[in-house]
This record gives sequence, C-alpha cells and structure tokens, in this order.
Amino acid sequence: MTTNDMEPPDGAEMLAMLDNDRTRLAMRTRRPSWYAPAYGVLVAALNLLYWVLGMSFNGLYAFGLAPTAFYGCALAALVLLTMAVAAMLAGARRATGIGIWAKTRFLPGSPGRRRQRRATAQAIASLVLVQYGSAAVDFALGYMTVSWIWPVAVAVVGAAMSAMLLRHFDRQDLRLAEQG
Amino acid sequence: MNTDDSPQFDEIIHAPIRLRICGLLYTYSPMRFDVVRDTLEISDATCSKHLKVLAEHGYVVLDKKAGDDRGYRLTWARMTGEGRRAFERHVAALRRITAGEV
Repeated sequence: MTTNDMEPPDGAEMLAMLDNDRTRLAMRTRRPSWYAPAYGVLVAALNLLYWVLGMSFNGLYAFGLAPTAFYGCALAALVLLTMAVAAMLAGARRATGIGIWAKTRFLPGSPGRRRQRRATAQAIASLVLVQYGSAAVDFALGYMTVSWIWPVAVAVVGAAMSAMLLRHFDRQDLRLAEQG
Repeated sequence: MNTDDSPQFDEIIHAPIRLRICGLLYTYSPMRFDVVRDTLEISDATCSKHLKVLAEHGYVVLDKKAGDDRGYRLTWARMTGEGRRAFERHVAALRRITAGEV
C-alpha cells in the first residue's frame, strides 16, 4: 500500500489505533505501588545521612564515635543508598517491563509533548527542592547539634512530601497520557 | 539511510502490527517482549515475526538479557535512531493523509 491507496479515514484510523495503544500502555506501565513509599524511605535515609555529616563537619563526638568515624559511616551509608536506588530502579523495570528513562509517551507532532515536557520539568524541580532542601536543613541541624528530634522530624516530613509528590506526578503523567 | 525530516510513507512500518509495535517502542523504549505482545494482544509468533522484520531493517534492536532466576533469557526490544526517524516521517505522512493534503 502507498499514500495514493489511502483515504483520510484510513490515516485517521491508524493514528487513533496508535493513540489507543499508547494510552493502554500508559495504564499498564504505572510505577508499582511500593515505588513512592520506597522513594520516601530513601529520602529519609539521605536526610539522616546529611544530619550525621553536619555533626562530623562540626568536629563533634556523638554516639561515642569520633568525627572521622562519622565520615566512614557516611560513606558506607552513601554506598548502601546508591545500591538501594539501583535496586529500586531495577525492580520497577522488572515489574513494568519497560525502560526507566525513555518515556516519550506521545506520538510525533502531538500537542501533549509540550505539556509533558513542562510537567516533567516541574516534577524534577519540586522533587529536587524537597529532598535536597530537607537534606540541607538536616545538615544545618547536625552542624548546630540540636536535639535529635528535629532532624528526625525533618527527615520524616521530607520523606512524606517526596513520596506524595512522586505519586501526584505519576497521576498527572497518566492524565496527560490519556488526554494525548 | 534517509536523513530528511519530511513526511514519508514507510512500507516496512505501514503493516498494522509493525506500525503498532513502532508506536509502542517510540513512546516507551526499551520494552520487554511480553509487554509488547500483551499490549497488542497478539501471539508470540506474530510478535516475534514482526519484531524480526523491523530488526532486519535496522529500525529495532533486540537484546537478550538474563531473567529473574538467570535460568532463562528475556528479549528486550529497543527502537534505533533510524527507526525513530522513519516512524516520525511515517506518522507525519499519515497526518498529511488525514488532513487530506495528499
């Protein structure tokens, strides 16, 4: 078949078919339900790591450990966190059967692509702001060596906000995919 | 290889199943074989046959990777740059047809 053999309704039918597949796939490949809570736990762990680093930067002895021992603990924790992130991404990839980074979601020439780009930029900016903002606050609290209640509270709030934001952006992503 | 971005009907992509496979891989690539098959609700043999045709023309790359228990290997399909460009040109051609410009 060539372009000469096709009528406008044929082309429209094919484009509609592609759109239908794309929407069905968007629903099939939603992140697993454990993803957002796991992300929150990692953010909390990151915050607590920054708290410990803050204390060690102040040269304090805490939990019976010298500041240099803190650096060792922080490094070990960072390695564990990196491994946890890698395991989380691999788990999501296994559960959904799609690559992690490549989600164009829209067909060429679709108006949804610009909306998706804007939404992705907002999602990344919000998540970076919340998780590194709370980590910076925890670092400062560690440096000031205030009561442990405050850094833990900041870590819990940062984790909850990150998990909620991730879930919100996932739902928004799906809505955009349905709109096309 | 055609580097022109203008709308161009592609005979390889045009077959309905291959068009749908390209549509999926264009939006989510790489993708596991079973996800492509289940989303399109086609048989293993049909899915495999069309993926092979796309791979032979350089539009798709098929990778075998170890499964969960390492006892078997899973096929992952990924669209190549050439495949993406061909699909973009083909969809542009379909849009022109739909608009009655051809």
